[in-house]
Amino acid sequence: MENKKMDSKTNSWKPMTARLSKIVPQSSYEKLYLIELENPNEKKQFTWMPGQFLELSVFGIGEAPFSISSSPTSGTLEICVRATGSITNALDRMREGEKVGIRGPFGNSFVVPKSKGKNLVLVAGGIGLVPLRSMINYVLDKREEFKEVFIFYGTRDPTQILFQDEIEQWKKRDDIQFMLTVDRGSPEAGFGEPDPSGKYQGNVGVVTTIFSKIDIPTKNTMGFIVGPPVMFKFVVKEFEKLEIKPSNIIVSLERVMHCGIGKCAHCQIGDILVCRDGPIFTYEQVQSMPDAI
Amino acid sequence: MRVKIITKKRNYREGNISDIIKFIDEILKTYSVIAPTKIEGKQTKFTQISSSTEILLNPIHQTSFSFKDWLLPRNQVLLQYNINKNDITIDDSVGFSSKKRILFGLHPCDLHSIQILDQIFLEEKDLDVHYKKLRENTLIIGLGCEEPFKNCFCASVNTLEPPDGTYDLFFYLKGKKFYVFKGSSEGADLIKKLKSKVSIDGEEQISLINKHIASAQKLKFPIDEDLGAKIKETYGSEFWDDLGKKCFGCAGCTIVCPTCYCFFVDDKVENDGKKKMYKRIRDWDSCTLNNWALAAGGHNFQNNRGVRLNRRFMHKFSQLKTKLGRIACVGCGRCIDICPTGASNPVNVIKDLIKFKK
Repeated sequence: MENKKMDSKTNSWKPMTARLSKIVPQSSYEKLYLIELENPNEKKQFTWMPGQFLELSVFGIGEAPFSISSSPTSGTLEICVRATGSITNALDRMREGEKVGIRGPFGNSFVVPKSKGKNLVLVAGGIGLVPLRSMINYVLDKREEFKEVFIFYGTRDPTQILFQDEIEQWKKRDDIQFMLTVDRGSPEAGFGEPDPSGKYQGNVGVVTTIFSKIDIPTKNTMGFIVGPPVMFKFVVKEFEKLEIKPSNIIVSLERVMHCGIGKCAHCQIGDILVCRDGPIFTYEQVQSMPDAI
Repeated sequence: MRVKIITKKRNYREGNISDIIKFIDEILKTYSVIAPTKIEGKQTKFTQISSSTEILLNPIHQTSFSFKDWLLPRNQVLLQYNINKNDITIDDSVGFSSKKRILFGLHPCDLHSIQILDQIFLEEKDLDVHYKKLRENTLIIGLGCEEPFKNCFCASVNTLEPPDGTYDLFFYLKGKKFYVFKGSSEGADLIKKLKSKVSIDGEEQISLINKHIASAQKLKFPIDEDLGAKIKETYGSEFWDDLGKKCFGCAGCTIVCPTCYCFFVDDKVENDGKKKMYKRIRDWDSCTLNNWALAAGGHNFQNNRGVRLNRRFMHKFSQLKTKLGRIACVGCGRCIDICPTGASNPVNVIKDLIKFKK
């Protein structure tokens, strides 16, 4: 076609090769993987923002999207993965030093211009802490850019708590308010019941129960939610009580994706593609997207 | 609704249909030619031909399958790799035959599909090099319809006229005569292989053909500017539930649709006895299938047929309308031809949807 100048020669499907430089088990299901790109130029050029994701190739098995869990301010690229399907189980069997492939980073960021100078309430449920951790550590490293910072993390039971060493550090900081809660005190305990052995002494109850324990400013505040749909609905109600507008509530959505580059259309919701227009949206946007949550 | 037909001022040539047959045998010497052929019973398909006798030049039915597997082939290799101990070698070269191909016999509806696929796969951001190579390596000879098919409705979705930039050469047939015009310099070169002369009444004749098609087409797609909003508003309503109960979820509509391009990506292994070769491929997917939005761990984001049909219509009439400024239905009627339930008939579904009150 003579009228069309087609100059791109790059195959956007080609992954960059990288090594799993370190693997740190988190709970019985999840591991944290530190990823180091092999080519120094690619390593230098690979920059990301909190909220973005990458496509990871487990060679011999396939490719799947994962949130980047580390903050760009840390300088290390990390993903945290629960062994669930064929790719994640194959990844779970891999050892330090083995090679994977990376495409990306893709998608938009939690860090929206208007978040600067605001009070932030960051709420994670379960594995939702994985993407939000990038934002949390980013905010902690650029603490002076934000006003009061609240971090609430709810998980099923104490055995499911991710990033335990880091959480200990967050607890110690006096320039943020970090609160942890579990649905049940131990895997065997009933819903809302404490640990019978008494080993776990922290909060028990769903993540929304934290809101009544803490004074959160209602003015100039933004809320962030990453977690399962059921948690999302209740946290939004808490934010509404705080009079946080839907345009100031930020969420990260998860969908099946096969390409990451706006082609395969698996991640379409309404008029948007989660891979390209998201995965970060305001609650205002989400309200007009059918069945987003 | 009145359909506005503007036949463009072009340099038309004309000749006898029998010379098209000779022309096809002539181009077969230089090019791979892909054209509508009979495959089984009434079914027709675009296949590579070796002689002009295989071509269905003027079939009375729409081709059962579209041209799309020639630009978006099934099991298309995106890249290949070898695993040697812990060393990975990736071959990302784009494989295609260097012999130029000619896709012959695409109706204006199909050319509009190509225009839509071009907008998606050749967009500057994230250009798809595999589509691009096949597209660049293919000349397109379009063919106007003399009579509308049973289930097509191009006049009401503005796809009656062939869109510029998609074809290299375009034919109209009338009686024993043909009218032809070029769409590119390569098309102009092709005309030299065809016995034809300057036509004086080409524009007028084509205008008459198109007027006839527009008036003879029984199906008319309803015009509704708020269609996208209506599809979104009715998400989860009984309208889509009821439609989902009719639908068999067979994926037939998405397979035959020339604008349905959704795909999945998978890694396949080939073992020749000596070593393993891995291929990352993409293949056609269908949003009408149950596993369309099934995530690892078992959560299905779209776990019933009605929801998935809503998603299909939303993609064509809302998401792509927003993105491309046009709906992604070209009125070819293949989904109506193939669907035994009527659940994929866009004209009737949209008409019913407009009438539906929540």
